[in-house]
Amino acid sequence: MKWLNKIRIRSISVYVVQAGGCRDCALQFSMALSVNSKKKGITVTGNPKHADCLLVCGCINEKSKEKIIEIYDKIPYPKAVIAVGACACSGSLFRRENSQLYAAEEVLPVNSWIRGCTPGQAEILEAIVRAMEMVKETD
Amino acid sequence: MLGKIIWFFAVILSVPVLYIAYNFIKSMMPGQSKTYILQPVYRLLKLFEKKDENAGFLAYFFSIGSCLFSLIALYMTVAGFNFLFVISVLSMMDLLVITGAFSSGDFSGKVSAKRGISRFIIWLFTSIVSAASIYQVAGTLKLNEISRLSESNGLIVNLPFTFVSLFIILLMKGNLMHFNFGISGNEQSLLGDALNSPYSGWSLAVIQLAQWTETGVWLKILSNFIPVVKPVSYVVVSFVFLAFLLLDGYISSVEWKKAARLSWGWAGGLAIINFIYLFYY
Repeated sequence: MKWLNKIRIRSISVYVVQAGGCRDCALQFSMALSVNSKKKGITVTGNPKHADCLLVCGCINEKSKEKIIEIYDKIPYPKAVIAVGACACSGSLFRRENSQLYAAEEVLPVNSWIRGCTPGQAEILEAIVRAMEMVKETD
Repeated sequence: MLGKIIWFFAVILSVPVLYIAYNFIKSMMPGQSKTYILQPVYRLLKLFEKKDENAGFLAYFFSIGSCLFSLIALYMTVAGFNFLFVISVLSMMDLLVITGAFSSGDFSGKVSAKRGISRFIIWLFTSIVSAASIYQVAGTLKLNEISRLSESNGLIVNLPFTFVSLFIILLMKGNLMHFNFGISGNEQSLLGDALNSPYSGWSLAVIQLAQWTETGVWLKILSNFIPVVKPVSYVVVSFVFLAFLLLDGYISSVEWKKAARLSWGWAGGLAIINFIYLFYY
């Protein structure tokens, strides 16, 4: 079913979660969509039921943790989770011993990590496509 | 019979073509996300292979039921049945979508059902008032007769507001402009609206098909009022709809309760104005 996998990569709906932080990662992603013309077929959706990919931006705290898990459960299979930016990957400089902050992989099964503060626009789109390709292999 | 079958498939195919054209033009505009030409079709095919563990039998039952009713409505429209029969089948379709949304038990499903009922009442009221106006002018509600009379007598001269109110129903169904209730599977925009729909994966794909078919039904109904030959009138109405699809990108969306108020005012209000004019003047 190669053609079906090709179709899946050509239409990727992304649900963006801003868990906390400065929101620059989410802004970079929005800008990437409007500026980058090489990666096509990526759209943003406001409904997790329509999404293929969950983009986690910012530090995950106790409050947003539950909501993020709830959103993740609503996304139908096959789905991918991408941690965008230093905050989502590791907690960045906000992470202290008792800060009650989580890295994305402590909460969800993350398929791809994009490190950096803030990550590049092209890298975010590349990671989304790669993650969806990987998902097809694991399914 | 052959003509009806050709019309049936032509209308089914025309709506995805409209969305493909819309998607292509929109992706060419500056600041928009770049998409493939066949993106709406890719999305539909992708949805068919997605698996939602939370979706039960009812989600599939209601989505398939609504799709069947939309196909029946389309056949009745191209065959020139009574306008009210078509409306009753379309209302069955809408009710199945709403019931499916409500029975999902999902929060977004309940929100969707609430908005769906609001939209349902508005478009049904508008359709019934419009039917009364059409009957007053044409003396019949059969769509093939209305089409014939439009070509020869130009019915639209006496039914301008009715035509506009029926067009607003089309905008409401397409979640466009200030008549966007924020419901269901239209996912063309760059920054997604708060799309409230309990359907996902396979059932969402079927609902999407039903919506496309329903859009075709309304385009075909509206084309009956244009005083030119059928294929030309259908193309004219389709181009106007495409223009509104593109215009939607420049119009800010409003909160759904305001969308409901505006829909009452424009769709219901214009239908009533035309009705009063016809009966009292």
